[in-house]
Amino acid sequence: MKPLEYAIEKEGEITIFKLMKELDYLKVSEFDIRLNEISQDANKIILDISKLEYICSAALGSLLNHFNKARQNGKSIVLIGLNDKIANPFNAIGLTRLMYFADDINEAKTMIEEMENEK
Amino acid sequence: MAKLILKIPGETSYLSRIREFVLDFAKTLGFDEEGLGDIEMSVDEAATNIIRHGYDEDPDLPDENKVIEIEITKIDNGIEIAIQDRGKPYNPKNAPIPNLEKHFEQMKTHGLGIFAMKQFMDELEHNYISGKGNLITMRKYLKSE
Repeated sequence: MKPLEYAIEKEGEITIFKLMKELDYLKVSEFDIRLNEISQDANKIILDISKLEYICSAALGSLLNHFNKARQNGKSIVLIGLNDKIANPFNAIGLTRLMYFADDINEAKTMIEEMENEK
Repeated sequence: MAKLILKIPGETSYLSRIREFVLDFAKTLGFDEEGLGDIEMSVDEAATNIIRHGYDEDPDLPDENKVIEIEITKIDNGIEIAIQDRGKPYNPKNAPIPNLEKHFEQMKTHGLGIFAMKQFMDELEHNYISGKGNLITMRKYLKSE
C-alpha cells in the first residue's frame, strides 16, 4: 500500500504543503489528518498541487471543507500549480470559483498578503 | 492491442493498479492530458463506488466474490471501458446529480463520483446480469481536430 506522498516546508509565516503523485480514496484520511495538523499550526497555507497526478472526488470534497473551515477561522489557503491532468475535476465541481488559485508561489504570497490586509 | 482484461480484488489498495491499467491503454489511443485525467477519474470513481458501497457494505457477500473485472476496448475513435462487479443491483445512471452548492454547504465530502462519471465520459450504460452483477460500460471519444 503506497502512502500519501507529500512535503511540508516553512517560509516565514507561510506553510507550504506539497502534494505529490496520487490522492485517491485510500489516501483521503491521511490527507485530512495532515491538512488538519497544518491548519492548527499555520494561518497562511500554500497548497502546491503541481506534482499531483490524480485527485479523487472525495479528496476534492475534503479540500473544499478544509478551505471553508480555514476561511471561517480567518486563515488563508491558496492553491498553486493546477495542471491540465487534474484541472477538469476542479472546474467541473466548481472549485476554481470557490477557492483561491495562483500560478506560482510568488503570486500566492501576494494573494495571501492582500487577504491579510483586507482583514 | 484492441482489448485487455484485468481481474482484480475489490479493495481500495488496488485502485492505483486499476487506474494504471486503464491509463496505459488510453495513452496508446492518443488521448491528451485532459482526456486521460477524465478517464482516470471516471474509472477510479466507478471502482471506488463498487468497493465502498457494493462490497464493504454487504457483509453477506463472500470475500472471494469481491472482485472487479475491467475490460478495455479500442473502439472507433475512442475507448470503451466495461466494469463488472458481483454486488447487488445498482444503477449509477439513476443516481441524481447533486446540487453542488448545497452539497458543499453541508460539508459533504462524498457523492461526487457518479457526477464525475457522467460529466467526464461521453456515454454511460448500466446492465444488471442476474447471477453475476452490475456491468457499467463507459465510452469516451477522442476530440475531433
